[in-house]
Amino acid sequence: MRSLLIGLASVLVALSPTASALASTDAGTAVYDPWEKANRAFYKFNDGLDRAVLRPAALGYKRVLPRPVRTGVRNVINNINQPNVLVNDLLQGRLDNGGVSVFRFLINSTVGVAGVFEVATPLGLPPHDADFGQTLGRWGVPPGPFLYVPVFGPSDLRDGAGRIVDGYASILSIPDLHVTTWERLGFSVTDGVDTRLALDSTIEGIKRTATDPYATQRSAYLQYRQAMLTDSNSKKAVDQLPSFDAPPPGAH
Amino acid sequence: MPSLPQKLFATALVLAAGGGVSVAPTPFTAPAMAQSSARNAGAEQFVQIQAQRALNILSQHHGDVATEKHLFRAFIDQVADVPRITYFVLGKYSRSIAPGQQHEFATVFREYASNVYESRLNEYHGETLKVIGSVARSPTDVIVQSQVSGGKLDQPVTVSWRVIAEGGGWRVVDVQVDGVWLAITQQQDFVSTIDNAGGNIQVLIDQLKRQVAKDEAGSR
Repeated sequence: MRSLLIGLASVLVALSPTASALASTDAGTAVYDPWEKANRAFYKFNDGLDRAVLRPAALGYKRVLPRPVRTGVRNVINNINQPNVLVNDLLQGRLDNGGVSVFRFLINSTVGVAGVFEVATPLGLPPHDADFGQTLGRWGVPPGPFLYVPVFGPSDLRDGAGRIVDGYASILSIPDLHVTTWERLGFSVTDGVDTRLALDSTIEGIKRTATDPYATQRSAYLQYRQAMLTDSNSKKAVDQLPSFDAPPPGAH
Repeated sequence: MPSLPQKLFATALVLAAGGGVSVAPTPFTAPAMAQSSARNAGAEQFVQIQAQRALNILSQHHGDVATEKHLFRAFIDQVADVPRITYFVLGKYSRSIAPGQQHEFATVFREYASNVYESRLNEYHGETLKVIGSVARSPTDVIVQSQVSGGKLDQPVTVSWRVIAEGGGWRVVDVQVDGVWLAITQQQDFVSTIDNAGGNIQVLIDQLKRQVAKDEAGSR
């Protein structure tokens, strides 16, 4: 199964444009964006959608629901995602994280009243992220070209494929739970609105200060996702950082 | 996409935009061992001391925004290696920029970066910082790891500081939050802007000038 998934993902990546589409950068974190023109068009679309719909929805959500309620909603969403985190912990061979995921789900679902209350963290079981895009990365599948997906935002080919798998692997997909399509949609929308609210300061800051908000989001996303695969403070990772050369005399 | 801890990002911007935490440079300590993966106590001590001084400034409410900004800007000047960062954020264009244009860019970038972090000064809510380790790329180039906690943070967040040894002391050149290096991100922003202008650096400079003017108009 693992070989099949790696093979499938690798074919997807291999079919994508290569090499010459690599955006040159001195920063050491090379940007592979062969579809930049289309991605920028999608970014522009998303920006318009964000201004017209997503941000107003997020701010309205904040106005209507007090913070403790919003926290409870986020806790429930995280708890529903916990089994998917567990599955990916196991697929990645991270048994220690898997153990934490199991106990987090059990404790938050019971003592935490169906996940409303985050009681696992104070007990020494902090949350961590794991998704199928990350799993593919740990299996050696390269990220492939950068994608800016309408509605969903920045991604890459690997993470995009991973997101589709995560959707099908969600606990909400279990037939015995009889979760309707509308309920799943409601869950996704609530997750999206809550996440947009959490990122509001960052997104608005980028829009206000970046000279190229698209490039800034792309850079931040790719670095963030890379850090999820490797310890960004490991010797190997820091050795790959670009050098900060001293400016030539008289440069300032 | 997993969410970024926005408070952490804001805190890191405050502490790091254009440079980072500051105070009088502490003596540079090169590790005795040749292995570049060893920790560097001097670099760690520098970050801990400077972080505490930054937080002290942020926690003192002078009641006057202009005074707070002035104090923090002076602080940044002492700790951040502003010339090195200014050179870095131009990426490949740092080698081709004309000297006069370089000076023009340095001036406007300084103002632009200051405005970015000064706009975040009021987002400090009593967070504390503790150094937890370091990794050396070389004896003069060290990544110091710290944990920021308290305030309105639900859980501790790891912030890494890249410090370069020069002139007998350390200076901050970059900060990482959730895997994202701020100066690297800034470089990719600027290089993309210049690339899309056909290599015309003046387009970036003019855009930064407009941003600075807008920020100044907004603050009046």
